[in-house]
Amino acid sequence: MSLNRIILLFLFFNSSLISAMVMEDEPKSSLRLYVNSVKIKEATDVRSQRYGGMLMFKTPLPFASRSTKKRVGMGLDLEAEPDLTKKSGEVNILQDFYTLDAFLECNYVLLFRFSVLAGPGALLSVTRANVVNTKETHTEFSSIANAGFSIDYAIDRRWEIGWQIRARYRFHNEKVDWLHGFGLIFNF
Amino acid sequence: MRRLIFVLILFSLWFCGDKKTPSTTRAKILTLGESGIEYKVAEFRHLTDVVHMDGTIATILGGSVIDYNLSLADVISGDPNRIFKRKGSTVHLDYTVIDGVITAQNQDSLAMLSVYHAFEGIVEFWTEQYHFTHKEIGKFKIHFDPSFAASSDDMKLTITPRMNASYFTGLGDFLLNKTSPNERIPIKMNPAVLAHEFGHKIVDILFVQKDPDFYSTKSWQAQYKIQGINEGLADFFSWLYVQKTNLYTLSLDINSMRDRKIPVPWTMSQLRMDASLCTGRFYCEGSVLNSALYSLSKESAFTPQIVANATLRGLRKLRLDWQKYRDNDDFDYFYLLNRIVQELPAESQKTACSIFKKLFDDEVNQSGLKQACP
Repeated sequence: MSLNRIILLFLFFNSSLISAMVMEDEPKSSLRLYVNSVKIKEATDVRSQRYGGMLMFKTPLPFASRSTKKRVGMGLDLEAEPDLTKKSGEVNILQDFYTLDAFLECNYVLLFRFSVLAGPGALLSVTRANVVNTKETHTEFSSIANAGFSIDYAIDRRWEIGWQIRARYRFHNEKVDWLHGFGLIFNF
Repeated sequence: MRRLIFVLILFSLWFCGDKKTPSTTRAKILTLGESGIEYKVAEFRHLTDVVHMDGTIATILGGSVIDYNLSLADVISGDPNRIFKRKGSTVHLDYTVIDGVITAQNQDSLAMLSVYHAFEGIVEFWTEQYHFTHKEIGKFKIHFDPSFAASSDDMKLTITPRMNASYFTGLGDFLLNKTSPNERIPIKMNPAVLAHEFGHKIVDILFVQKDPDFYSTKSWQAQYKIQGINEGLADFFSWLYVQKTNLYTLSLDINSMRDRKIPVPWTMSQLRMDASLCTGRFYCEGSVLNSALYSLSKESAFTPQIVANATLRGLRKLRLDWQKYRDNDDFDYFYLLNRIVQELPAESQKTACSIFKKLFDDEVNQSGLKQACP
């Protein structure tokens, strides 16, 4: 690699004048809105796709953060994943998922903010059954565990965009779902 | 304070929701009822593992991928390694228990419970009323939402078909396709459809004796007739179990299903003269056979069981006729009809002949029926 390319790469990853790297000079909390594509593991061992909306709150833990580049944070998120697919003319059982997740995360900043997160959560399953003119709704709470990875990219000091991928284990059904999605982040 | 709240939230979340394997064998499913197909609580008798839908008569598998480039030799082999690209895996039911009743949490789970219960009823029907043994029937696999994979040098394609159910001769298994939004009651949850597919298994046991190569013939006309016989008998066997004639249309209200409502308004000669009378090709001819057996069952001297027993014995003997004449273009329904008449009590053969002659009024069958109906 030629010297000028090495210098360019160095500048690219280290100068906020050249890149739009995460520009945090002090720990900030953020509010995030993600639109996720969710791959639900079905009873038949295949995955079906649906979309979900996630509202997330993240805050850094200053006592556990060594620098602006390496931080530990925590957060909570709420996600709604409605089942909108019509199954058949007269038999439709739709299962909506609503989750509340708590997590701890570790960040590292190098142009982007890279984060890994993990934590437990609660899942509310709402089953809407409309079977041959019989309408019923059942709800059930169960526990879940999440592990994920995200990348954030700063537009300015307040606004960022992000992408996340997450695996979710449903203890109740012993199934792993996958989700990934893009989000808009507001720092405050 | 903030940290304390956070820890408390984590603690409470971790312990909410706790699933237990159900001790009950009652589930709310779609099953046969007085008014047709009803959503109600039913008892399982052969399902030993509700979570994985496994029991003494069958097991349900998901995610099976069948090789689209199957040859007849592959089918005949009955070797899953040659038939499947992916053999299917254990399913995992999503359910909750409400007041001691297993209740499905999603469509697939309701379908699996309903399918298993329907097959329990069908297997019990054939073992208890017609003395088939569990060994003859064998423990079969139900492939849920199977896909077909085709591949060539520069292309790979996976297709998940919808709107059908089928019996896989050779393997003795059932394929229940993914449900389409166009189906009213999903085909796979319709006991009449499942009983029809199981009817093919009965034909498999008695006629081809689990050798799919036995169907092969050099005559496409004979092939057409034997396919019609197979479908007609499967429809009749389905009716024997459900005792209703309109259940197919509850799933698909289309011409090809409406045309299978018995008794059909056409005879064999009318059908062969004007194919536009019915839309289901050899299914239409099969419906004439089904109508004949149905009409016979309704005669005062008969019961469905008398007709069924004669049909089952006749079907076993049809093997001999098929072995001899399967390559002849004039192989026709009369071979089976003659066998059935011969299996009926002597005093009631005349009634059967009269019905068969009335419906199979084409030249070939009229002439062929003279053997048992002089």
